[in-house]
Amino acid sequence: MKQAPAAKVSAPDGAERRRLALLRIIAERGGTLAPKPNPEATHGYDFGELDAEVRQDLEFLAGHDYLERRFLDRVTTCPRCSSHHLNLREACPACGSANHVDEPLLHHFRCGYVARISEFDGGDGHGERVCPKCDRALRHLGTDYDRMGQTYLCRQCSTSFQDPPVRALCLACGNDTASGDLLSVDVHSFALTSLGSAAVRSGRLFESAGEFLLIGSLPVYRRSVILELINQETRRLARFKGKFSLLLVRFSEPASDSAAMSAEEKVIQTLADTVRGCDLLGQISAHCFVACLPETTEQGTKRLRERFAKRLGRGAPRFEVLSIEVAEPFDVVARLEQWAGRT
Amino acid sequence: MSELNGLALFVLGFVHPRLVLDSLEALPRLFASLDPVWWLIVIYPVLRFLVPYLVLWCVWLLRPRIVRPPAGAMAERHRPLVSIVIAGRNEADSIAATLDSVLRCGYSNLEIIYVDDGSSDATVAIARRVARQSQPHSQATPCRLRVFTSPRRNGKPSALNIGLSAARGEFIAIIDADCELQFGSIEHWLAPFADPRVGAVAANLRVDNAARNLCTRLQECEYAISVTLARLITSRLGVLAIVPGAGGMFRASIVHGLGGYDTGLGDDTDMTMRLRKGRWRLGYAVDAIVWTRVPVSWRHLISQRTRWERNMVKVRLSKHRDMLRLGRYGFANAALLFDMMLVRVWLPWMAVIAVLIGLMKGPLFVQMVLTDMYWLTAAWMAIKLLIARDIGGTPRHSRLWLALLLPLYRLGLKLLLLIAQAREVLRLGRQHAYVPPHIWQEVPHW
Repeated sequence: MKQAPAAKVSAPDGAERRRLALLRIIAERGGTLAPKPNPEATHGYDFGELDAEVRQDLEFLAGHDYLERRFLDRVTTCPRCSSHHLNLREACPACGSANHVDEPLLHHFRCGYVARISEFDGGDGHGERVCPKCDRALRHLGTDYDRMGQTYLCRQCSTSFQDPPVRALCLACGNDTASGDLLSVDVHSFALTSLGSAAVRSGRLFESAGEFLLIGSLPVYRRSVILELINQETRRLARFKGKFSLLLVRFSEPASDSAAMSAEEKVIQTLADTVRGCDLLGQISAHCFVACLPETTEQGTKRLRERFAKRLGRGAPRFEVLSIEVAEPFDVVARLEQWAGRT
Repeated sequence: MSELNGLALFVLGFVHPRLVLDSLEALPRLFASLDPVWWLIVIYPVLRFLVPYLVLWCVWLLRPRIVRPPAGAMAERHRPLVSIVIAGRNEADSIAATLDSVLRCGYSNLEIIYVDDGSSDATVAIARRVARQSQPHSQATPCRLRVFTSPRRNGKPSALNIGLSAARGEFIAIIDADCELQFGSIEHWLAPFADPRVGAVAANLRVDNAARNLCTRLQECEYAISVTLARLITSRLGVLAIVPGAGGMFRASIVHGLGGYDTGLGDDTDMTMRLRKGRWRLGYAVDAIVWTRVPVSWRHLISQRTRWERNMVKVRLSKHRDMLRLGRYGFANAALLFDMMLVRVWLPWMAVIAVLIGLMKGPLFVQMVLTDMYWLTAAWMAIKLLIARDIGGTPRHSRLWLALLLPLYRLGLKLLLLIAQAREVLRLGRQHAYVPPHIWQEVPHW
């Protein structure tokens, strides 16, 4: 595994200073920045006292692997004005009115008559029910007559229906929308990655040509780079057959202090020293790393794992290792994301 | 007589010229007589089965608009709301196509009600998916398809009654869950309702899966004759015997007034009889085409026809036998029932008995008569198929040769159906899987 090349470092500009300051704030808040619920906010969540530019910076930092997006919530919004102030209600399928009443249907077995329960009212004041079609008294529910499920009657247009569609009225713009046409927006929190921590420690972002590929202090590729390289390996497999293996390392508990973080880095450095020069090592989430081993079988991976464990010795932080042999092309990246707990 | 001659007699049904001449000489005396056998076995079938078709063909050739009138002005004028009610059970294979055909039938003022009768497969999920997909995006356009489910299986009539209770249309059309509606059919279907005395209109049932095998091809020919063609005649004569459950449209006020369908076997037959008793006219729209799937195996065909035959005995000849009283429900209704008893019960049984007696007394004569009958029937079937092809566009010319098989097909079916008749009359094994047990226990059995 090659080491990070020495890069020319220029002085941070205004945007970079602002982004570094944001990373520091996140580091001070325990490594995570989560939006808070706010009914006044467009999507129902905002970042409190942080200004409006913060969202763009967070997206930039997440896109460049300094932060990791973590799913927090899904907000349903109006497709016309994007407001989340929606009134969801079951509506009449014919006129769209929410003014309907649940009135069950009765079915008389003998003559087959089906009507709303009120039509069977005998009118004697004792609760007797009489079939209006054949004038026979209904004796016992389930024996000679039955209820035909839940049925609604619209008070607006007299349409009866089961399974009413859900419609949403936007309280901001008045738009009435079928529930299926509403928009969904995912709300994320942002967690500092090891690259983000390195940027905080070194006081600069690693955006020069060489640094863009490798994570600052570690000889590992950034998430976006390693995923593209694995994709490329999958495409090569599909074209030329052969196989490759993946070795995944996931730390059980997130590193909370600098000592723990350096212990993690030591593990990854050991892994980098163990793999061959042609192997690729990268980070796919804050605590999950992957080694892509071209032309390697399951037995080869097993030997590598044994060497890795031997070199590591005792006292390393707790982590789990998983190996996958890829012999047929499939969506490897999705599987990795799943394993890394990002989806 | 050599064996070759015997074979020729068998194949050709040879009749000696002398016998023909003797018969011609006897004709004046037979016409002058009051012999019931002559009038009921010879003259009545000729008038019943031959003359109307020839007259229809002549009218078609001279005045085609009388036979196939254009789409009604009523539909063009105010386009009344039409409710299409479909009841089905375990129809996952066909329900999407059925609902899709109705949604795209070209008539705008339409509501579709699908009622599921306790399906155990994916029918409900598919129907709801179609409903969701057809759901309008704006509130201004009402949703055209509504799905109802029954908590348990109650039988087709009860499922239809759920649909009727939810229908808001001025007219209600019933089609089966495995049928498809042809584009533009609703306008033709509505046309006969321009006459306020018309209470229901039968659609023209065409066979969708005719190309499947010989069984379905034969049924296509049968439908061409007894549905497409025969209903043109019976509706004009005011004796249409059935508004089929696979394709029938009703005035909503009448159906609601009757309280919907009665439970038990023969829902469509029973509804037709009740409408006839109410003195409503029944129409037929040859251009309102509903494509139906017929049974693809002989076993299913016999099962279906056995059910129909038992319905005939139970509903027409038993429950509604009072229609025979001339003063009560009118001449046409009495004539219809009389004709049915004669043609579907009395004549077949008499023919069977005559053949049995004949076989005992003179086997060769019976053999000749049967062979003659076969060729006469086959020739007549061929002519009927040609007429059906000419007027209704069905069956294809390439299937006209099936006229040679139709007499045998109908003879075989008829013999099996006579057994079904006998079983129903003798009340043997009456309970049918078509009606759920909890309903069967409650309904009166006629």
